[in-house]
Amino acid sequence: MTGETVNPKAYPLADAQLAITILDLVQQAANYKQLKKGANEATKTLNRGISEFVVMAADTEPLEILLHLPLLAEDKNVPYVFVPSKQALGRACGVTRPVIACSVTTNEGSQLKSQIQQLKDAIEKLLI
Amino acid sequence: MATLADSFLADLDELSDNEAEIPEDNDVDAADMEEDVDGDLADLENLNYDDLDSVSKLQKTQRYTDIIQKVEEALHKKESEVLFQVVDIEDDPEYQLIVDCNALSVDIENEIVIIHNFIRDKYRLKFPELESLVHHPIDYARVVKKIGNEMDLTLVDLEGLLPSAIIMVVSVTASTTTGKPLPEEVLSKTVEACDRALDLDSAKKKVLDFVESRMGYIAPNLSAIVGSAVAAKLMGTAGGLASLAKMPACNVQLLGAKKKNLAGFSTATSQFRVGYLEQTEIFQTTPPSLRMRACRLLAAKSTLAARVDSIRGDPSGKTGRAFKDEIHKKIEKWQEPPPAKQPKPLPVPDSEPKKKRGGRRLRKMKERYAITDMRKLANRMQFGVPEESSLGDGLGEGYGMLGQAGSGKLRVSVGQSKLAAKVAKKFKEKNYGSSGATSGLTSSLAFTPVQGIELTNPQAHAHQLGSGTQSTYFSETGTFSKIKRT
Repeated sequence: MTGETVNPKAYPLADAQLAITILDLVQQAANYKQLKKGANEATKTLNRGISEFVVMAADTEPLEILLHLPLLAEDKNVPYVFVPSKQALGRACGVTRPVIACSVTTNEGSQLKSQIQQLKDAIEKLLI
Repeated sequence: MATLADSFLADLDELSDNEAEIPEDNDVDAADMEEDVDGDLADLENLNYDDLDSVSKLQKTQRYTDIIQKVEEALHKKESEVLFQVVDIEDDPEYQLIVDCNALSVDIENEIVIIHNFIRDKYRLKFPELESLVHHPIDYARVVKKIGNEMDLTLVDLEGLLPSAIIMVVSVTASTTTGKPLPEEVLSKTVEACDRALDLDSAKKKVLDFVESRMGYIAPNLSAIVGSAVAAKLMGTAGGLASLAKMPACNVQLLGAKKKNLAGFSTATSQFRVGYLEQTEIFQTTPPSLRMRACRLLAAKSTLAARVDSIRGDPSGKTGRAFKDEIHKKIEKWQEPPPAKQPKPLPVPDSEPKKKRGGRRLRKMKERYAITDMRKLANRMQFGVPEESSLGDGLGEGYGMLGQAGSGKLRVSVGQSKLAAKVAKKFKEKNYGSSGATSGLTSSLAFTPVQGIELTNPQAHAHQLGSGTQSTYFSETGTFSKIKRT
């Protein structure tokens, strides 16, 4: 992927290390049933206010089909982040198709709460 | 705005339940107007329900007048001037006008519903059954204005306002209605309300025509998929392009769906109303069996196109045309018949080695279950010779070559099998017969496995009956002791 340029609208874009951490947490959230896969379901979680953070794929073509999610996330004060590959995001979600957007949902008393909080802090640091 | 529309629909359902109780209708309408004025109790105190102006306020507002005037000016603008303004679309005042038109069309729709409630409450005294026959508010207003206070409906020409079947139903119902002519004052107010509703409807049509003509550069990708008219309706119902982009695809599928038309009808009907997406050219050209899948596909791709349009991602509409081509390819793929079945060859026989090779036990089993000579003859047919059968004339079971050897008998002489010969030989080696000696203590009958019964001659040893000892124990011929006498 040396010749491929990332869409500048995909901001904030996670680097390699943070992307691995995000995908690991997404996979654990999928195992704990705290994950909503797909742009439509992510939109619903944002509208309902049960979203912890939103992960989107930067190599979506066209990227505009999920750029409404940052607007919604800003309205709901939810962190959002882009990862480089939609194929990797699909594998992390546990599906065989590429996934362009997913949302980790809120669950009180979950074992992932501390990890989610740490990752939310890390994502918000990218926006500074 | 969606919640406001839902409350209106809930009010409509409540009104239909309280059809026979007029005082409660006033209370419901008062609650409706209370919602309309956002709880302004000062207006509620001065409420005059008979006055149309206290119910319908939209046409008096400055915003409505300004937008309608701007729309009329913009509709006469030249096309070249419009194309020139594509460069900085965000700062164009006409773009803001289009956004205002989307909001205004939603307000006009709500206003028409309010006026429809007013007309219906007034006209119920004259023709109570009409509201259940004509559901559309604009059609209802036209019919009310046409009928007026006329009691004999055969004198009223409703052609062009309603379908022929509904015209017939309305005429038959009018001949048996329990309504009474309205007072002149009430009738004039009702007709005025009808005129206002029709004016609002024409204004809404004008606004939507304007939005539709500008849809090419407001939402180029969405218009490429569903057409300008449906795109304008989707944007109007959703409350703007940004709101449409933030909807999930399953909500876009139901925009414009009307449940009132199915009130009282069975849900088992095959016809379904899916809203504005039903009016697209792609949906109408799809076979009926695939329309549900086509509707879902259209909703999904339309939502993606709306999201691209909401942030001005592709002003040329190339993405929308790509989505449209993809939709067409998928629908054609669904209509292909499944591939024809190829003649399938026999499966490869498994070359697993046999567990049985032969041997004494297997040969015996084969001989025991082998086909008999009688069955072999019955299975054969001789050329040119008709066979006999158990029931005669070819009926029943055929005998084949049985009985055709010349003797006419069906019985077949049994051949000597190896097994039987061996068994017989083995049995003959055993000596079951009497040894020849006869005494008074033994019988003269002897049984053998081979022959069954064998009779011996009692006179064969008659000369020995006069011997000294007659007992077997002391018999001279006994093999136990043979003491020779000296």
